[in-house]
Amino acid sequence: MYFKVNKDLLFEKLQLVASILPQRTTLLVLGNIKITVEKKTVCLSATDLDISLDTTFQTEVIEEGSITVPGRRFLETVRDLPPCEIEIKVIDDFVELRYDRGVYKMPAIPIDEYPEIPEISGKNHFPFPSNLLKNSVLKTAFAASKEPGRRALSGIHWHIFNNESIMVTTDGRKLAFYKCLIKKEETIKVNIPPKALRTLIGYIGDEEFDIDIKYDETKIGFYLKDTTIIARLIEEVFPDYKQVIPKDNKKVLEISREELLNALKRVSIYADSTSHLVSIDIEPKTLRVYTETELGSGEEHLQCTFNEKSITVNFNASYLSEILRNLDEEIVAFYINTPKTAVILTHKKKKKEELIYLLMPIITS
Amino acid sequence: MKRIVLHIDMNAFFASVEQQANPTLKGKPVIVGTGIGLRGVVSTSSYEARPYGVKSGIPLREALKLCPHAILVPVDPSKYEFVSKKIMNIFFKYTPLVEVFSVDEAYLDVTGSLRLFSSVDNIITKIKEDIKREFGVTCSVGMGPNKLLAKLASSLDKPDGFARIMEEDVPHLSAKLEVSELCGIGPGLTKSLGKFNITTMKDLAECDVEILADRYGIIGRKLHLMGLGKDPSPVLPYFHYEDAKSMGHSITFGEDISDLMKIKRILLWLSERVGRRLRKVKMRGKKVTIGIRYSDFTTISKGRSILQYINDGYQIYKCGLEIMRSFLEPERDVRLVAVSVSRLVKGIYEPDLFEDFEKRERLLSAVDKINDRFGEFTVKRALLLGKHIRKIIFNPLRPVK
Repeated sequence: MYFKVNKDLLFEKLQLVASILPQRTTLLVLGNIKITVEKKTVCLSATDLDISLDTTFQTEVIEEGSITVPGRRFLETVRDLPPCEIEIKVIDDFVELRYDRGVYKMPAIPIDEYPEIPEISGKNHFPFPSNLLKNSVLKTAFAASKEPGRRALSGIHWHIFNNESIMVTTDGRKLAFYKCLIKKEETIKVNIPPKALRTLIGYIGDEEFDIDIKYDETKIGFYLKDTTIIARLIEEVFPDYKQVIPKDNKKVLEISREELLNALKRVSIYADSTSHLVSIDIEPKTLRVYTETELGSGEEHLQCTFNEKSITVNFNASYLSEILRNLDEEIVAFYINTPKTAVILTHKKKKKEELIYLLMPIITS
Repeated sequence: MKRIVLHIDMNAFFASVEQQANPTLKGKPVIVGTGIGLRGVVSTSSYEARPYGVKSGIPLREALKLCPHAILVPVDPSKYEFVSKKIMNIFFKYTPLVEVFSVDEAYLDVTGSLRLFSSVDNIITKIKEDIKREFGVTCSVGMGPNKLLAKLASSLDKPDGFARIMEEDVPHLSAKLEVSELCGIGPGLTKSLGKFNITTMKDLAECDVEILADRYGIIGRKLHLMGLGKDPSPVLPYFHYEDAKSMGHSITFGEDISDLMKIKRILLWLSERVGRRLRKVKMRGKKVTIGIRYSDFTTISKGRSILQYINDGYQIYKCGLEIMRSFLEPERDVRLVAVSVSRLVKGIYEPDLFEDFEKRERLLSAVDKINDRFGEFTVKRALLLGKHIRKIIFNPLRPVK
């Protein structure tokens, strides 16, 4: 195997592939990136056994072949090179990286020790607009559970039917729901690892095009021009989220998102570091955000509109801020029932999309 | 006005209580032991047993070799707690500032009581008389301008003694006193200080406070003050207790166990106890830690943070089981299991969107009420039924506070 490549192109591709490399692994070879060279094309691949990614680029190929090299070391070496032309070559058990002023050698592992990258079986596939997918993931991925014990909640639940695409995530404390209209008729209901979708939207950037999506019973694949991401679906069934979205939250608070966010940021400096508890007293025209702990106390008064007399609700300031940051209109609305039941947070309804967050208040006794 | 703090330490407390409860033990060497049979260790021994070299913490087997005619008595925490509470009540006659430090120790700030009782000596004599008369227990009293020096003083004259260390005594005492004798400096810290050539109180005082602070943070600054014989911490009456940082229980088995099912049941039993204690003080925690000690004394502990604040024993168990499965070596003999819950909060709860938390609360409160009235584990999970669980569990715990 022997090819020449421009540093910037190689670095861009390596960065993408390396994002899939597992943080910790007992299988040494999973820390490696696989390089396959055929005709004029170089293909880089990585997998953490749940998600695999491969990406290709055209370049000057001198000799075909394939090998695996330590992924992060490869990336770090290329990252710090000046703009240049790089030659990559296999010499015995090493991969040699050479440019006009230096040479690096990395121990290689042959590809037969590398796990097989899975293929999607069957013919199910449909196109999906990249901008809609990106929005859906950006608005929901943060609320997925990070607890190892709750696998069903660790994924992004994606349900498409009747020209609607719905993405939902929850960790039991908060829930994110994003719905948008799509032109194509398609039905799919899957639970996808967030890392796969995060990597995907990170790569597509602001470009607008249709992503070809293939799926079978256990996997889903996203096919772009030069890059493929295949993810193993989470088998555990996502809970019935519809039953926890309240329908009788009649008390409506409207407030400036920016002002509330800034107040929370300051007040929460004084909040308990474990619970992040802040209280919000809501009156028809004003609202008070406050907390008091051994660290001191803080309070801020803001203007708002509220359609009821008064209520006090306690929130985890960091969850609330996270949600407020993900809403994007200037005015946000809280739909409240009681201080002990889930509160809906949303902004003005848009034509083709619906965004709802649910947050469980903190109950004090 | 300078503070006057007393540290009162009951002498051979468990053994004295046993001798008082059973007069035939009076004047004889008594060993109070924990654990089952001869696998346990000495918890306390009476002063009659001490000349033979019987000390707290040594294995019972060894203790009986040293003093073959000693009478072995199993620990009975509820008895000691009962007596302890009554003794603490005596202290409250002399000052409201009583900090119960353990079942047999307390700090008293008597600065404000001097006008009422004329002198410190008078207070000390009266307290000693009261305890001796009512419970047959003697105590050592230490007096100082703060808790640190009072505690040091009480260890100087044992049993039934009295000693004082005032600030002016510190300079000529501190060169002789090893850091390990200061309350709050355990074996780990002693070793770590040793690496800096700090072995005595004087070394601690002479070490640059910034070096200590750099190495140990806030503790470092406190250590420096300790070296100077200073301790600004107040005597905190029990109703001002700082909230606990974690709560846990552990058990050493009568015989080593490798059967996973049995270990699971023990885990549940311990978890239920922790849950019950948390609920008593209206606390919840969001980190569960499991400790396992194998028969060769290798000990492993692992913790995991969860999103929810829990105080339900079964939830603690489920989380603990997952942690335990991640590291427990199958077929290996286990000697001790420990469960603890940390990152505690008081009086707050963040319910899960997908659970009916009010139902859980009602259930737990109903079960607690029954167990309050008819005794612990009157109502329990079916997994805890059966005789052999009682065989494994042998009085290893302090009573629920």
